[in-house]
Amino acid sequence: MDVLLSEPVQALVAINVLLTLSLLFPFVTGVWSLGMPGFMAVGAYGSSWLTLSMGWGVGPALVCAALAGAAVTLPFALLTLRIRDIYLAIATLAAAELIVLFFSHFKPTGAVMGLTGMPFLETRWLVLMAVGAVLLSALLYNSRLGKALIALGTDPMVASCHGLNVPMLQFASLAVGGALAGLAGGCFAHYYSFISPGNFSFHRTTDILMFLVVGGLTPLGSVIGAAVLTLVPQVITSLEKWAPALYGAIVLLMAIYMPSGLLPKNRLTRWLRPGRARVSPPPVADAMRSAKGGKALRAATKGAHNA
Amino acid sequence: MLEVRSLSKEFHGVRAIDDVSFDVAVNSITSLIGPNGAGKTTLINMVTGVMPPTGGSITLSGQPLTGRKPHQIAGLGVRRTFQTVRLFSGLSVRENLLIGRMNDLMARSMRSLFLPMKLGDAEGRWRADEVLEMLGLAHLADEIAIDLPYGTQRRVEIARVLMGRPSLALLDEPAAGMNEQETEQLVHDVRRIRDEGITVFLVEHDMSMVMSVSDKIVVLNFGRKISEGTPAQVQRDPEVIKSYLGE
Repeated sequence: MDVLLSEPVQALVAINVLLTLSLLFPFVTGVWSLGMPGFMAVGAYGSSWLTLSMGWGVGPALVCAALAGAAVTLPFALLTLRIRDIYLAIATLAAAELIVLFFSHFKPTGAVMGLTGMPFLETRWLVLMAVGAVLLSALLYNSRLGKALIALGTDPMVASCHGLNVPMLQFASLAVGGALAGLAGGCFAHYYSFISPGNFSFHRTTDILMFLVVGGLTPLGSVIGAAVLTLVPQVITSLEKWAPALYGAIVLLMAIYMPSGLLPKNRLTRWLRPGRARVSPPPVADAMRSAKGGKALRAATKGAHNA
Repeated sequence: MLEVRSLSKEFHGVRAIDDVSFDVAVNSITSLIGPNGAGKTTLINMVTGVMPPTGGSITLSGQPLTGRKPHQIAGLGVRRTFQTVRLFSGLSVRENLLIGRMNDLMARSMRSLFLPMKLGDAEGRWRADEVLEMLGLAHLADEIAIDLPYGTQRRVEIARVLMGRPSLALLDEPAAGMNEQETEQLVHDVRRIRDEGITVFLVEHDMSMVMSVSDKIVVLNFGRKISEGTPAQVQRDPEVIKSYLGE
């Protein structure tokens, strides 16, 4: 069990948590963007360049990595105005590949050989940032703005008819996702002190996507999905070889039995609320209002019981 | 208040709305009726900016609505319900209501946006309670919208409209799928909305409801306006009788 608490595993979990949150935000608003590896690459290379060539400290470089990750979402945001759903997923996937392709041909950043020698960032900082990101995400998710994001993800047309500027909010959540991916990229670069374009492949997207499918589209779900699935192959080292098959089985089982993940939207608050299965009876005054009103209300309550 | 002038909408050569003009007076209840496929929902979609018209104009108290985006039109005080219930299914009743107030809040109190529902925006919380109380839904405030029976969900939609304190509320077939008692309750609600100072534009199939509640009725058939007037006038109009009963 010691392996679970070892620093490399902690760092891996922290980076995966950041990446999972970065996919969560656009997904909540119905933007199925898979540009995450591209944003991560921009963050990683940006922060490496700032520390190696410009002599910046790791802290400011990471801030810039997050900002760069957010900035590079803008062309992706413009894509969301034109295409949707699965088509958007494919287009953003391709666009992210373009970014990575750029770095594999760009000589100043080592092309396919990658970069090395970045200053080391200690694990506790990674864990701290991941915890901070989770707390902030949870706060945002439960705030009024978070509810608005969920609402427009559920039904953008209705949301816009109630005054929400849907494209703007989708852009914003895409940028938040980009910032988190950029930060994760920076953390990756400074923890491993080596990056190459191969680190930002499609493979990473599928892993993170799986964490989200298993965990559910909530900040807490993301954390649980990322942490549990990152740890599973570490528990028994002999399982590592079988990890892809194991992951496949887990995803299939989840898709069949818990299609919304372990912690789907609003489920947690429903579990925590006492007596959630029944609708609380209407106040006496309501029932006594008029025979008709009372009857309608009783019918309504009865309907809710059956539902 | 709302002025519709020679409005037209073409879908691939089919005229869904053909040169329709009418006015909705301030603080009145105006109803739009017509057989299925007459273009009633298309008209609401154009007023709320969901669909652009192919011709004509729509103005609200002198401001043109044509060419504006749905959220901008909502910002001018126009809110609507939908033909099929469209609540944000995963959110609670109270949270659904809150969405009706978001754009108000963005302009006035950014801080409240980042606070959970129970904190900040005291005025909004008070308004939500008031609206729920008014429609007799107060005991359902924390229920998840999709868990509620259909008729109740329809009334939550109306509550969500009221939450935004609109000047004009467009209700698209609110009585659809309701039983007689629920419809009667709805008539009561619609009058109450008007008494709040909100102009109501109602699209409805239920004739007894339309006749009892409307100040004015506009009748559409095959995208054309065939009659307009008080309930009594419209009921006597031979054109209307012909289109409803056949020749």
